[in-house]
Amino acid sequence: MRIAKEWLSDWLDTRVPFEDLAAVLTRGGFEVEGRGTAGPPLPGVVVGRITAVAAHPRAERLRVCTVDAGGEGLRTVVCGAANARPGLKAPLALPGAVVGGRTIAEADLRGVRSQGMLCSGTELGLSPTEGLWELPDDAPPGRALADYFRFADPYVDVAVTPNRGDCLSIKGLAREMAALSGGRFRAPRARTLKVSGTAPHVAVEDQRRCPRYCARLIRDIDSKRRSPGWLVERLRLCGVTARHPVVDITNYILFDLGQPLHAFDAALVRGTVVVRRAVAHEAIALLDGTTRLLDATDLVIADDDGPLALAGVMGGARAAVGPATHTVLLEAAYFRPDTLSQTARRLALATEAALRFERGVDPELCDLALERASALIVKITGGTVGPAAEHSAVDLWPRPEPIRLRLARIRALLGVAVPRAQVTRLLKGLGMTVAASHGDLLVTAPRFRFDIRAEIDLVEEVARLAGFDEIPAVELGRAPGSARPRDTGVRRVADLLVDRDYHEAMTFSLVDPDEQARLGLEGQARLRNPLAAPWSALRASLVPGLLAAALHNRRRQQARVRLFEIGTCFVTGDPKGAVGEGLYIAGVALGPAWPEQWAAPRRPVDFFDVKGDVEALCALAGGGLAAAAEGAPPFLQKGLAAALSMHGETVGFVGGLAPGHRERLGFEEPVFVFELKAAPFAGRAGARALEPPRFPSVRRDLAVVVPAALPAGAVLETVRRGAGPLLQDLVLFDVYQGEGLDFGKKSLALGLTLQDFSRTLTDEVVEGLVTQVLAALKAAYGAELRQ
Amino acid sequence: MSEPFAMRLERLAREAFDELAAACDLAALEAWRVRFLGKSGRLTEELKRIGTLGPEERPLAGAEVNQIKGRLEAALGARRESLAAAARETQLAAEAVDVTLPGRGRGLGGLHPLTQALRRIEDIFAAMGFDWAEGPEVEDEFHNFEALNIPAHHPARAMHDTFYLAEGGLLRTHTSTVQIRFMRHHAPPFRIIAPGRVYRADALDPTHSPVFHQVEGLVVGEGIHMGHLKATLKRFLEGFFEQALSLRLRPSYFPFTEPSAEVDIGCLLCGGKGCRVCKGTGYIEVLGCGLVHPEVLARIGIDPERDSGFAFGMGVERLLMLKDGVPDVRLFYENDLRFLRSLR
Repeated sequence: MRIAKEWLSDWLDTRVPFEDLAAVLTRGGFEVEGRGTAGPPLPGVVVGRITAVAAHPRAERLRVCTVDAGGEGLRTVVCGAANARPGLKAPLALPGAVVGGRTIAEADLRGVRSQGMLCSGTELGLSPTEGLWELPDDAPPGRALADYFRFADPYVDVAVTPNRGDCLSIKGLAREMAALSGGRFRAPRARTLKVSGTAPHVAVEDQRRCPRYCARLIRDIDSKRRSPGWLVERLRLCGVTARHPVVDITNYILFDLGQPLHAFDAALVRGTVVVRRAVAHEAIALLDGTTRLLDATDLVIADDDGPLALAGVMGGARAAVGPATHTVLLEAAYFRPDTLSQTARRLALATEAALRFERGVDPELCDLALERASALIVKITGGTVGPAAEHSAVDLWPRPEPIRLRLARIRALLGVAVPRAQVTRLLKGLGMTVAASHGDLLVTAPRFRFDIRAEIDLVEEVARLAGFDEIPAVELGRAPGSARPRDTGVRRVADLLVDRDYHEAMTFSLVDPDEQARLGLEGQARLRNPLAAPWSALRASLVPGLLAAALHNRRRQQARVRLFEIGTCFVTGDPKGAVGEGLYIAGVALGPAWPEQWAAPRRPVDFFDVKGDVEALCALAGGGLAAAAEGAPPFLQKGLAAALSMHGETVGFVGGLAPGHRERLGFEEPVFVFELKAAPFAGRAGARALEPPRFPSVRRDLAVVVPAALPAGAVLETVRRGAGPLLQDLVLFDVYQGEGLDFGKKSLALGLTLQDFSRTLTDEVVEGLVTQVLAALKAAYGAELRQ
Repeated sequence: MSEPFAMRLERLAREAFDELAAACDLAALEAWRVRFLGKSGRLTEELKRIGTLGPEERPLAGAEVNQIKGRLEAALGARRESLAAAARETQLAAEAVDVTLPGRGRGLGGLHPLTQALRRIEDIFAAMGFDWAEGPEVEDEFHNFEALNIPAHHPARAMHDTFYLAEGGLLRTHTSTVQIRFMRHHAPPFRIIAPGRVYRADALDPTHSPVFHQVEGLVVGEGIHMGHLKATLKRFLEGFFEQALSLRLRPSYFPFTEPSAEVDIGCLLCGGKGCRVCKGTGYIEVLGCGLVHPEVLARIGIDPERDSGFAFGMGVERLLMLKDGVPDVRLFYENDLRFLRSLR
């Protein structure tokens, strides 16, 4: 809500300067989001009245206007606007004025001397208008525009929380500010208008949803009249452009009093006005130009021909007030908050009216709003006011119940005692009635406070008014239980990858479903209401996000990119249709294996660099990693990718991105990725200590010749099994193919470390073991010792 | 006798010293030793000749030979040492490197700034006895809204532009969901924080991101009140920002807390005088908090007359932007290495 100083003074009498009220509002729970003055000073821009318009002798599009500038005399102004016509009042920038960064000067425009410039609202940086800004009829020629519109008036923008619908008006905020600052709220008096004629025919079919409906006719209005400057300006401050005086007035009353009103062109209403539920599939063409399909939960204002308006949300196009309107049907009603918000939400119509009704509008406000609006309409457009038709089900109005408030409860929750007298004074200041009852207070809130329903709501009001500053800070003291620290496994994983020269990335969990599909990722969960197509699915893998981040860096002169991410991924496919989620660890590496340096070889990162990083992670989790050439995801290059498992359970993959994807994405060099489930790494139980052996270990190196196509993993596995528990460590320290070996053979150099924890190993035992291992290798693969 | 014994001995000694001075490596030194002091060396030969001298000459000659032998051996030792020292010098000189050349090795990566902030937050609260809890990112209406006092048509739902999934469920709009999940399985008293990713259908701009991180806090027990909330948040915020701060609790509204407050700190940039960062107010909003609404407690089976509690929630990106002067939230998700390295 925007509160302008001058407007506020209609309702609030306070000694607190306007500049200080912002602090009062902030302390009261209304956040001040901005401040400013109503408009720019616009020196040299005055109200001009066009007295005559003539064709330009040499330009078809231009016209020569004679403009009455009051004290500035009559001026000749060349103008290209289509709406320039005699009698029109428009802003006139005199020579010397600055408009849109340009200084206006007297100038010859194709042979005619122009002594100023007639302006549009857009050119002045104010209300956007088509053609010249048509100023209200009451604007005096020659008057500085900023004076006329009181642009020097300061304002503040405050945020009103959803519980305080009663403060979505200048009146409501003034009432609140009076309570917060000790000022006087000028309570409104409804002036009863003289009425004549008949009331409209109105029927309320759904009283539960519409417990109050008032309507009256105002006849013989002049729709050619225009809203006066003060009204146009106040609406502009609220972000509303003036259109038709009747519409302007209903809008104004909404902001001034907080009561949404609606005006229909009565001549376009057929028969009885009925407040009823919509019939399923009934359609309505709304004022915003859209046509909406309704269902039976929606409430409409209808006539014999169908819906006229979506009750409390938006009017329909059929009986809209327009330039030909001579009789208006003016509606003031109370609609139940829940019905209305359902409709507004389903149809995504967040109108000012719906905003207020769904937060609760005092049903009693209808009277005042109807009288004020009627009086203003008659004042501006002329016409006669008819009697109001009223349908009220008072027993269905919200009725504030007395609430028991315990002073001890205030102290228990706020941590500070607030004396009874102070509580009473604070609550009474908000218009509540406070009575004593068995040592407690019995408090009844005013009807407009839809947010006060229970004792806690009153405790909050006391805290708010007494001020949070009055509450002393108290330390919590010792923890109630033993603090359970976060699983340190995830931290350790991240630290390890950082130590291995990866930077951690965080990518969006919202991703492009097409890209995931291109990579062959299945089971994507989709958003029903995405912001944009590239963010319309949940990531099924961290890889697409990391590839995008790597590409971002690659395109910014980063030759060497190593990124990892630990994050949640989502997949469908649960039998119940639900979306499952799990934590994953993934990385990407491209470019040189080492940072550029003089003392290390320059070579691109390869499969074994990245596999080494993965093995280091597995070592953290106790080791036991197995790789298989089969089963890696399809976006990896066949033969350069492995499916990974630990203790028989699939944990992820590592490999080079397939060349097709590399080229498609725009990578110029090999890219390696890995992804692992986090669970085996995150929740590692504490390891057990190993006492260093007291007996020496024995190392035996063997070079075995095996078929070149045989995976080394199989050989290592056979050695492990063949050697048994004495094998403490096994390294593969050379792979050789070529001269000295038969074609199709390779030699693997293995280092076996043998250890017996209870005795010194004898040569006999060691030789026996080696023989055993060689026999196993021979049996399995025809392996021979290399000569 | 051709030459007197003493004179010959004298010449021998002179020759030996001259040759020793000329020996410039260990091999020459060894040859010298063999030639003069060896088993059939010249001095040893002279010693053998003493027996041919007259009895009156022998003692004197013996003493002289021994004295010369002693001098030669000492000179040999000294010469050997100096040659070894020279050899060591040469060796060391050969091994010397340009110590100003850069060292060898892989680089050092870095944790994402948000991870660093999350760890920091977790550590500060752990020191205050808070446990750590988590919940799923795909949530249901009950945990995200209804259990938190936000029924289907509550206006507060407009504060949460929610992403819904085609498969059912929604992406949590706040980590407050974890409050509910935790309280269903734990009886008070407890203190927890729950960090995690949350989602809002907000367009991406310098201060909004549809994906961001929150940390939720929840303390429930007998006698917990607003004063505890104030002290806890002050302690946390001063720990996080590493400076003494002035805190301001400003009344606000959240459906699941009452009383509710926004917490402002004195502007870190201008110290409260008013600047661009605090929009001239001197304060910056850092988090939302309040006492847990009695209805939230009651619905989950906790008696609000016996136990009370407070909750708070903070946006991690926002805190970090304030702390480290990150100008645009999008930087966190772009993963530009130059940005990541700057906050390593």
